[in-house]
Amino acid sequence: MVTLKIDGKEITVPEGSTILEAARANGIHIPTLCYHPRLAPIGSCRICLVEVEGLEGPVASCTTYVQEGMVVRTQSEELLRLRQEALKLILINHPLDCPQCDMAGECQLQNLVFELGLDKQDYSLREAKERGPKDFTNPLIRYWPSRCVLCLRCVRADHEIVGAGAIELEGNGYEARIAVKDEDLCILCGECVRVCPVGALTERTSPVRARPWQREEITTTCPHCSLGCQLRLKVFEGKVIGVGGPEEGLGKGSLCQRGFFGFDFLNHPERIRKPLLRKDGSLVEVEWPEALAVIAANVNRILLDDGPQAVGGILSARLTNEEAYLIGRFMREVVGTSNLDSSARFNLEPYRGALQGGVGRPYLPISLEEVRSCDCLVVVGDLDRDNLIAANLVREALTKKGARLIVAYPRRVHLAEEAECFIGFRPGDELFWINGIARALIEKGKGKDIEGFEELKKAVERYSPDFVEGRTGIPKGIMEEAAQYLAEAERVGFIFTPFLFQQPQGVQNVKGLLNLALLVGATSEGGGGFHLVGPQSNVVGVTEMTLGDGGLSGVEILEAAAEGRVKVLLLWGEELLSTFPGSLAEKALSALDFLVVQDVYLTPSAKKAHLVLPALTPAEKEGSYTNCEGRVQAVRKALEPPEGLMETGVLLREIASYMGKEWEARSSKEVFSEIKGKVAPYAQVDPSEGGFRGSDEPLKAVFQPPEGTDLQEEKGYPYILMIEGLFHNHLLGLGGERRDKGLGAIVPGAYLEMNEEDAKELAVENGDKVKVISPWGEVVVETKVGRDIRKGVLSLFTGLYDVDGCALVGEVDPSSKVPSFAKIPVRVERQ
Amino acid sequence: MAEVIFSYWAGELVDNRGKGPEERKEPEKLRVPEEYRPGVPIKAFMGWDGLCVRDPAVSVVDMCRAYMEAVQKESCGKCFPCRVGTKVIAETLDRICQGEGRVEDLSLMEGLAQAIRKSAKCNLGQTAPVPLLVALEHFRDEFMEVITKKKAVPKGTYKAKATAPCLNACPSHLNIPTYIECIKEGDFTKSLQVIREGTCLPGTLGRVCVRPCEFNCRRMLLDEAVGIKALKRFVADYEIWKKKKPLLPAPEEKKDKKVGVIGAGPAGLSCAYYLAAKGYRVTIYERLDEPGGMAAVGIPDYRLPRHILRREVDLITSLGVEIRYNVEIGKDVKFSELLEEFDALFIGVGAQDSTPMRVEGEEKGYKGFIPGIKYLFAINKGYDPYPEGKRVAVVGGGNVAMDCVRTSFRIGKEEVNLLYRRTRKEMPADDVEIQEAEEEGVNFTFLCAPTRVIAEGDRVVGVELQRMELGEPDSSGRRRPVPIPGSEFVVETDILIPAIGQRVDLSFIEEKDGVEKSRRSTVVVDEDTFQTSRKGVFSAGDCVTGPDVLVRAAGGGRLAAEMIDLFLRGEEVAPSDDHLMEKVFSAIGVFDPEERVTGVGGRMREKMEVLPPEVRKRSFDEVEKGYRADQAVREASRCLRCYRVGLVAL
Repeated sequence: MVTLKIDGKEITVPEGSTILEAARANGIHIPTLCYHPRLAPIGSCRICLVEVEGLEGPVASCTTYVQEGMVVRTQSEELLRLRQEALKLILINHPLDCPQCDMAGECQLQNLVFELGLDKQDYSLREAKERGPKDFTNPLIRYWPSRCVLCLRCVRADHEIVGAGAIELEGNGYEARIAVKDEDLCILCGECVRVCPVGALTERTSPVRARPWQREEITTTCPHCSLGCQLRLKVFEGKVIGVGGPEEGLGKGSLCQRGFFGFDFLNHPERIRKPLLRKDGSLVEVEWPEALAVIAANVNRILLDDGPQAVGGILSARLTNEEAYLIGRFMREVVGTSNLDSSARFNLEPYRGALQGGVGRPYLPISLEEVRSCDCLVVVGDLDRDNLIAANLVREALTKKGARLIVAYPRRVHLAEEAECFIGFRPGDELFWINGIARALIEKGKGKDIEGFEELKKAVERYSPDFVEGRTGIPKGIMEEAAQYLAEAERVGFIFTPFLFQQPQGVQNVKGLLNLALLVGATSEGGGGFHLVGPQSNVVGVTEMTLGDGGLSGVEILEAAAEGRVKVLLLWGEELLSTFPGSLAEKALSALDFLVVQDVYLTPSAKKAHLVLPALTPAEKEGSYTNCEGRVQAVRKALEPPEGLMETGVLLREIASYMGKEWEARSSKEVFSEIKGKVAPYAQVDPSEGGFRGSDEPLKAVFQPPEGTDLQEEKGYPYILMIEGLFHNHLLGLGGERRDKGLGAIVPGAYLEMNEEDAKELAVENGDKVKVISPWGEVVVETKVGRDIRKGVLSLFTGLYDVDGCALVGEVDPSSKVPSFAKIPVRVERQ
Repeated sequence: MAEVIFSYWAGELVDNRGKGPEERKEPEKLRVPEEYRPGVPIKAFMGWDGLCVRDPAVSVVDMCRAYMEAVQKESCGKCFPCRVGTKVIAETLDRICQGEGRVEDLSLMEGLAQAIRKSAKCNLGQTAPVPLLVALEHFRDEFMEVITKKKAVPKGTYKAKATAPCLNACPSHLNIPTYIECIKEGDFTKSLQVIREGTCLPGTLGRVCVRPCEFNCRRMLLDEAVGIKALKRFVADYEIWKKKKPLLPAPEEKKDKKVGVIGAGPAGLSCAYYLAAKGYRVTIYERLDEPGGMAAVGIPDYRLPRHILRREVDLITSLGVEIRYNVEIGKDVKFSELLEEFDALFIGVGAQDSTPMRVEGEEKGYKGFIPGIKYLFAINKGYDPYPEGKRVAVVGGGNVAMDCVRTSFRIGKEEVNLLYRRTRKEMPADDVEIQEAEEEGVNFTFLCAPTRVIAEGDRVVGVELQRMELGEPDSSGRRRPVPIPGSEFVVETDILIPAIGQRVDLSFIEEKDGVEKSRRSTVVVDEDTFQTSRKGVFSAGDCVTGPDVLVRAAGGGRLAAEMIDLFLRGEEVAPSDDHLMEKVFSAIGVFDPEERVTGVGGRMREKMEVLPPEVRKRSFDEVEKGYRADQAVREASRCLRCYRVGLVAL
């Protein structure tokens, strides 16, 4: 610790702090413009100058480190003059845009002029800068060169936080400009817009704008992926007009393209406002009493005729904890069935199973924040595209710890460019390189004290480097290097996506990777963790709220429906036809006696329903989500739902009452109190504080040796297809209907990524349409030919469900009931 | 000798205006060269600490205008005061020089200049206003005259360039502050690109360069010089660790002309690389069976792992350069044949012959008497030239001597002695090498020089030495060793290694070839164009300078490539303005060890991990581990970015 004096006040701060950080931590104000807490100090504005005793001139407090006994003065006549000079220079030719500038009222330049009492300009330059606005890296962001003060925050954010490199400072002296270097490198995180201190970078997702004092700001949890970043919804006249990034949560203010630009769907006018009942083949609007009566009648009828096992329910993985809990209780207590599941299973279940076996508990109490301080990281998945904030954490470890990075994926993803080792494997070959590395680590002496060591050692014995290279084509040198780094590291973290287990042997894959984590101490105290990050906001919460006692899983419910054993299906926000195996879902939904769908829009599943109930959007309810780390965070109501729409608790009470049963409707706060009592790991949590659920019991460590890795090749289907980008929020868009007019309008359409050698063999050129055929279905899609993806592997990016990728899915891992989305045998025909 | 009219520099004011001949003084602290180029006198100089005027025809007002314009061109644009402030001043001066000045302009510029000087982010902005402030103080009348007369001032002829103390000290003039800033900003790839504009051997230099830049680094005036060498090594290694595809210069369209290069050492490799980058076809003839010259076979692997150098050579050949190994010019191919075959030639044979000690017994061919270079060659090839010998004595004090003693432990020798005729302070070897050798257990004996080799039969058993004392300084500035009569003593040893210097072997050049050799048997070249006495034949490196440092050879090779390019295009073979300006700056001196730097010190250099002495002395594993990414970024942020602009009026 270092003790110094600032403006006469003695303060103590950690060594390595800058004077500015020391001042801010102790409530001492130093004016700044280019400084930003998420970025390394830039030092471009020269406003934060301070005087240090013993020095002849001022120094910038943002880039000067504290020293023991330093005496600092932050205010003086000279400092004021220098700050005013700097400000005058910035203001030369600054346009008088304040009345219409987006930033008016929250502009740092305005604040500085006010604070420093600047009221005249001594300097002028002949040339005025280009006015703008101009398109920036994408149609949703605009750049106003005349307003730009060249603080360089945007360029630094683009380079430091997301490592994209899409924008740059170009030119020398006064000619220097922020320029778009390569718009294809832009990942639409919006970081540049969020960090801009003035109105030089604005986003135009919403045509409606409002001044900061006219609008309301509500902090809530993002409904898109399982990282649970905090959003600040900006609400004006009943609409969400923008999103900010508050400093809480994993992102600390950073957001991804979905969080920042994907909010227009919350305002969408096309939603269902009244129940729809199928009469004479078409869905017509009816009043609530009629709808409720129909549900009650049908459910009661089937319960009488066929019993509770003929009823099933499937929940969306984006429902709140409270909603999921209530629905779970309703299905069990009012309906009497335990046939309850969610697509959350597809993005979570095998992880829980592997952890239960490996550490004695179905979750790990290690926060993703620990990734920042790892010195070696293993990443399996495309973090930049699917969970950007997790990728940012990895990048922090690389730059702040010099961490070594091992990336494994069939496609060369963005993070792979900064990796020492890139393992480009075919889906299905995971266990080869995983066990190969395990074998190398055991050879280096790891894992001896862990239960199951001898069995694991024997099981991985045959995965020698030559054997693995021979079977998979992965160069043995890369695996040996990876094993070396893992063995040397002090703190290893693993991050992977559901891709790893959405395969027929998926459960084995996760257990295998967990063995690696155990070998290097990633799950023990001080370890970097074994993290699953995925696409839906409440996979953890919905699962933990509805843990069943027997009952059919989602796929089994559909199989039973197709066979006529399940006759009534209640879909709570789930869009089955886009996310479950296609032909099975079609058959099941057609065979049902009575299908009820509750959703915001008329989804494909809803179009097949007998009864459709309107649902609340994520911005219209109070509740909580549990993110991938087990952090329970609040979902807050920002908008009023249309007239007549009910909260889940109320809806369930109404249905129960029409069914002749008792049910109490309570507020989400009251429900959460009940959750704390009934769901053990939630006993100590308060969603408004964002605490972690979990118990303090010590973790175990047990190896789970792999079983049977030899897989059959499907004859006639020479390629392996993985479907990517599935399970994103279907409210953004579905099947060509882009409901969200902001982000939804610019997400690229579906494409099939193919290696250029494969393309040559198929005589396919970039952009050609092809038909992809699996044993279960087919789709037609445009190709994207390149070098990043491994030969023999195809990747189907479904856009916003622009093609029916699930039509190709049919195989299911029998042990986890997770369909194989990431390893589908296919063949390709030119169109 | 043109007389100085006015000079202000390093706090010394010499104002000879209006003074009689007896009163006039010459400045001592500022020595501006007479001429820019032969026949082109320097009429005035304006730089980061003041200005100097020799010709009354020079308009100081116009010179200020030109200077500020140059500053604006150099300004990186990353801070407000320099980016905008110097533009305001430049525009104001431009207006004044066009006859549209106003009296208020002067105080406005003065105030703004003071503000920029105090608040700019880097040394460019901090130094740019200085000469203007000096001019405004001492030439105010001239400014007032231009303003009140409202007549345009004719534009003079100027050359301007930005330099930095480190950049100027570097024999290759690498753009150091820029590549360090790239590291600070996390753009390691761009840093390496900037480095490759100046040298093709970053991984090598990052390990073995003598780093004159660091000895001219202003940061040392605050706490400790920036680890420039280590930072260069980091970005070169980073490309390897992360398996990145090297970004090499895209060869311009292929040219017909062919260039022959003799010697695949640092000079020859650099020359070949830059010529290939320009599209020329280059063939290198190398005597040994591997590339790198002294860097490969002279520098041991624990300092410079072979694979690093090999990779850099592979990148050079990937540009299309052909290397023919095991071809000795003079023996296998005649020099005159090369003169016929190629449109231009570059001689880079280095200095690989050992300088004899001239003591009795040296010529007898005793077993165990092995010249330093031969010793290192053998070991680098993987064999011990004299396994029976267990005790080693090396005579010398340079890096070759250090390589010999440290390598001896690594091949299993038990006792290793270093014998040097002066004291530790005068040893020319790298201080880090000496220290690491001490840690590894080398016995140093100072102030002694050999008088004869002691042998038994045909084997060396010892060396007789005479004690020395230090007398007057010699031409190198070091105190000359003076023998003390009657002070002979013997050091017993099995292996005696003279490592006191190297000589150039130019026997392959015959008189009829027309390439002049000096008395010391080096190639004579023009110091700015590297051309020999024969048109189209160029040379650089140790064979021109005598044994010198790698970075100078590499720098010479690159500059020679530029000159060869001019020659082959039929243009005048003359040094570029950049080169000439740096020469002017070198004469003036860029680094001022007395300067008072405003800043907070106390941040010492990042410590690089090294292998412990007991572990490293028995293996050829690389001793220094290099920086991690976070260390490199922290170290790079210590750089003060000492760019400053110098301008000459011609």
